[in-house]
Amino acid sequence: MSARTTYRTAIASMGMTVALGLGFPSEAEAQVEPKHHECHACHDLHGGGYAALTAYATSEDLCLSCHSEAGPVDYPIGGIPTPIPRQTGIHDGSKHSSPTTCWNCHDHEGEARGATHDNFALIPKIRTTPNTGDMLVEFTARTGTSSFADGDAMYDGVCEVCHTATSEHRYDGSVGGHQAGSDCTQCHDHDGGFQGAGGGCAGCHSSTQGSRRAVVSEFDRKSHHVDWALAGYAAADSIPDSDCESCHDQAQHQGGTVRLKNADDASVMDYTGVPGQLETFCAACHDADGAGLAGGAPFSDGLTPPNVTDNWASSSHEGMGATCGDCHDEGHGSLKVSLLAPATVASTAPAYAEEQEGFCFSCHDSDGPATSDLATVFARPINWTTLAAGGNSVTTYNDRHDVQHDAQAVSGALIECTSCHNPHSDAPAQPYILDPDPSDGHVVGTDWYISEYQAAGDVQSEFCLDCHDGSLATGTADHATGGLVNVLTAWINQDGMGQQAGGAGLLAGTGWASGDVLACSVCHLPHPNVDQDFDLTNLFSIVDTTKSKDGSTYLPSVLDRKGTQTSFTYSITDDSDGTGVQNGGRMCMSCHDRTGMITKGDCWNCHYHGSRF
Amino acid sequence: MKRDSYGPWAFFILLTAFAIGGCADDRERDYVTDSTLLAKNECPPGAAKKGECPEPPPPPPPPPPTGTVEPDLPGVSTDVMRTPMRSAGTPEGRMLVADPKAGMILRVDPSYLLPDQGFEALGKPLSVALLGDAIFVGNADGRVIDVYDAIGGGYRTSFGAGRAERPADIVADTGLALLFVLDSKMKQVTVFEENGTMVRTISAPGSGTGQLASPVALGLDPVRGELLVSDYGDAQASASVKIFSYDGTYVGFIDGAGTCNFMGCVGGFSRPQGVFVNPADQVFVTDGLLATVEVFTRATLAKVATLGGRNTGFPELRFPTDVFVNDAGDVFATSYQSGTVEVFPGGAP
Repeated sequence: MSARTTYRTAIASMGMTVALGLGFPSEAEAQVEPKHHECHACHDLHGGGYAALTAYATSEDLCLSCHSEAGPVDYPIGGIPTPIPRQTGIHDGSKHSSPTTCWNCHDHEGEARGATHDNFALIPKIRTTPNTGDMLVEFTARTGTSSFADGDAMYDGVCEVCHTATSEHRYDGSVGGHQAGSDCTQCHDHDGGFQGAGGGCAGCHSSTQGSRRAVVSEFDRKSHHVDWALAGYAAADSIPDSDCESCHDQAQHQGGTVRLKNADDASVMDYTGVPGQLETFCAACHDADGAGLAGGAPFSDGLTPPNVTDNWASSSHEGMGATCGDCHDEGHGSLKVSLLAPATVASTAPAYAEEQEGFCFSCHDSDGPATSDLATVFARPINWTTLAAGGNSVTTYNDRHDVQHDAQAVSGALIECTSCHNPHSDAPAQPYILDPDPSDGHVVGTDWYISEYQAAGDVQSEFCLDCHDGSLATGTADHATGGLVNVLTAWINQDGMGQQAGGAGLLAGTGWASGDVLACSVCHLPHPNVDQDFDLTNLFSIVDTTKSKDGSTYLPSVLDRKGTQTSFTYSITDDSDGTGVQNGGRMCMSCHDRTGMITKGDCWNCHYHGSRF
Repeated sequence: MKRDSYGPWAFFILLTAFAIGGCADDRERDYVTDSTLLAKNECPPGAAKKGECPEPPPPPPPPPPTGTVEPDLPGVSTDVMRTPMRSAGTPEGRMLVADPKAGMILRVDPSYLLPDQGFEALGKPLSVALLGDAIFVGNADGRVIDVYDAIGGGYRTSFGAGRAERPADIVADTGLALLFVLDSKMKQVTVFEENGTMVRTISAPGSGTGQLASPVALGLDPVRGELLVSDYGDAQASASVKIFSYDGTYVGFIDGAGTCNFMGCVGGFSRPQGVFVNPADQVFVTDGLLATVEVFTRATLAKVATLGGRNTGFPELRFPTDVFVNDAGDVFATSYQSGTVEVFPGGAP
C-alpha cells in the first residue's frame, strides 16, 4: 500500500516538541536513539554570526562541523561513530545527478516527537520526495520491523520512499527487496554516498549476493589468502576493501563478471571459471617480485607471497599441462591446507591423507594422469622390523619413508611428500628439492659433505644426507623410539663410506673397486618398491636387486644357504626371520664373495651403518 | 605560531645575541623569556647589570638550517587529496597535511597547492607535526601518536595510548623538542617529549575559565611560550581560542571579536578550527562555518583582518580546518569540504 499522505496534516498532528536546551550532546548522550539536538548546537540564540544558517553556512557544513573528523568528537550515528564525508560523497555521485544534502533526509521536523512515530536520526515522519510526493516514513529501529527497509508491504522505510529506479527496495515494492530488515548502512553507508561500497566488500559478500556466493566466511577456512589475524583484525569480515581489490578489479562492479587484476601490470581479465585462466594471474604475485605494483605484499597482513614460479615453466607438472587451478581451488580459502582442491571438502581425520600424500596419489596412481604410480606401491602392507640391524630390537623401522598416517602412528616419525618434492619445480632433471633441510645451513650441491660425492656430482646422496645428518628438516620428526642413526657421521667415521681397502672380496664383473664410495641409491630407494624390477618391498627401502656400478647389469646373488645360486632377488622382510637373514646375506653377496661366511648367519648382525660396512 | 618554522628562528636570535655581546649570557635562562625580551628589544636583567647591553639586534635573517629535516616522501598522485585537515609547515615552506578520508599524510607543494609526496598512514590520520627527522601523526583509529621517518615515510613506533583517544591536533616546539597533543575526546592537551615521554597535561574538561568545552585544534607561539586551543564552546561558553602558557597557566582567550552582553555574544567565532601564530605576532584562526581565516594581533587580541568568507570569490574556502603562513606571508588554508588547499598570497583578503 502506498504511504502517501498529506504533509501538513501530519505535521500538525505530531505536536512538535523541539527541546530548547543548550550545548552539544556528549558522546554518551549521542549513543542513545533517538537524539534531539539542542538549539545551541546549531544556533546562537542571541544573534550570533551564524544564527541565520542559510546566510552563513550550508546545512551540510553545519552538520559536518560536528559529524566529521574535524569536529570535537565523532558523534555516533546509531551508536556507531560515523563521520560523514564532504558533500560530494553524500548520497549523490554516480547515482544522483544533483547533490543531495543532509537536509534532504534529516530536518527539524525529524526532531519532533510524533504521536505515533519517533523516528531516528532526525528523519521526519513525512518526507517530500523528488518524484513521488509526500511519503510517510517510519524509522524507529535500525533492523527488523520499521527499520531502513523492513520488507513489509508498507514500503515506508527511509531507504525506500524516494527510490523509483533502484534494483531493490523501490517505493512501491515493484522490485526485489534484498536484505530486508537489515541495517542498510552496514553496506550502504554515509561514507560511500550510500552506494553499496560503504559497508565494504566484506559487508555485502558475507552473505549471498544474487548469483554470488558468500565468500567472507571462506577466509576462516583451514587455508586462505589474507591472514586477517596477523593483520590485526578481529574477524574475517573486517578485511579491508584494499585486500579484496588486490585481486578484484571493481571498475565494473556488479557488471556480471569476476574481473581479476594482474598485480604486476594492473591488466584485468574476466574470469569465467576456467582453471587455465588463472595461471598468469596467480603468477603475478607468486613470482620473484611478489605483488609487483603493490610492492611485494598484496594484503594487509604484510606477507610476501611464496615464489613458486621460478622453475614452473620447466617443471614436470607444467609439462603435463597442469595449471594452478588443477590443484588449488578457491582463492579465498580451502578446507584443506594450501588452498588445495576441492576447497569445500575437508580432509579426513586422523590421517588427513586428502591434503597430504593422498592428494599426490590422486594423480600419481594407476590411472594417472601422472605416469608414476606411487599410490599402488604405498598401498602395499607395511613391513615392520622386529629385530633390526645389529641385533637391536627396534619395532619402529619399516620399509618406507613414513608419509602415511598408518606408518606415522606406529613409528612416531613424520615426513610428507613435500618434505622432498616441490610440485612447482620438480622436473625429470631435478626430481627433488635441492635443500630439504634449510635449517642446518647445509645447501645440497654447494658445501658438500663428502668430497667423493662432489667429485662424482652425486647430488642425490647429498640430498639424502641433508636429513640423515642428525638434523631433521622442519615439518619432519624422528621415530619415537630408536631414532635415526646419524648416517652422515656413521658413514664417514665408522663405515668408511664402503671404501674399505682390501679384503672386501669384491667379485669380478660388478664394476666396483676397492676405494669406491657408494652412493645411497646403490642400496636404497626413496620410495618403497619403485625399483620395480622384481616387485619386492624390502625393509629400509632396500633395492630389490643390486646393479653393477654403471647401473647396466643386474648382479645375481651368488649363493643361497646351500651354496646354490637361485635368483637375482632377495626378500628382506625382517632380520628376525630366517628368510630375511638369509636374504640379507644374499644382497651383500651380490658383490662380495663371502661364501665362507654363509653359515655365519645374517651379515647385518655385524655390518650396518655405524659398524663398518 | 604553529609547528617548527618559528622555534628554530627564535633560537637563532638567541645565538645572534650571544655573538654580539652576550646579552643572553645565561645558558640556563628560560628560552622563552629571553626570546620575548629580545623580541621587545629589551635588555635581560643580567646583562643590564653588567652594562653590556648592546645596540638593538638587527632584523632577523631568514631561518638557518635547523635540526628539523625537510620531508622527502614517496610520490603520490596529485588527485589523492580528499579531506585535508590539520597541517604542519616544513623548513622549506611546504605543508604536511593529514587527510583522514584518504588515510594519508600528504606533502603539499605551495606553488601548485597539490600534493606531490605522501604515504599511507596507519588508521585514520587526524593530525600531523614535524619534529627533527620524524613525522608525528595522530591516529584516530589506533588512538595513539604514530611516528614515521621524515625521509621515506617508514613507520617507526607509536606512543600516547590513553592520552590520544581522539588526537585532533598536534603541534611541535622544535626549539624545546616538545609535542603538544590535543585529545578532543578527553578535552585535554598532553605535552610529550620527542621520544614519547609524557611531560604534563594542560587544562581540563569544562566550561569554566581555563577549561576546554569542545576543543578541536591547536596553535603554538614558541616565542611567548603559549599554546592556543580553538574551542567550539558549549551552552555556558562561547566559541573561542583559549590561550595557555606551556606550564598550563591560563592566559586568556580570543573571542573572535564578538560583542558580549547579558543577552549573549554577537559576531564571534562560529566553529573555530586551526590556529597559527606568525613571527609578526599575528594569530590566524580558521572558522569552519564562516569559511574564513580570521587574523588577530596577539598583543591586543584585536581582529585586524578577515580572509575569505562565503560568496566572496576566489579563493573560496569550504569548511577550512587549518592554516599555515609561510615566510613570505602567504596564508594557506586546508579546505576540508572542497578537498583542496587554498592560498591568500601575502595574506591579502
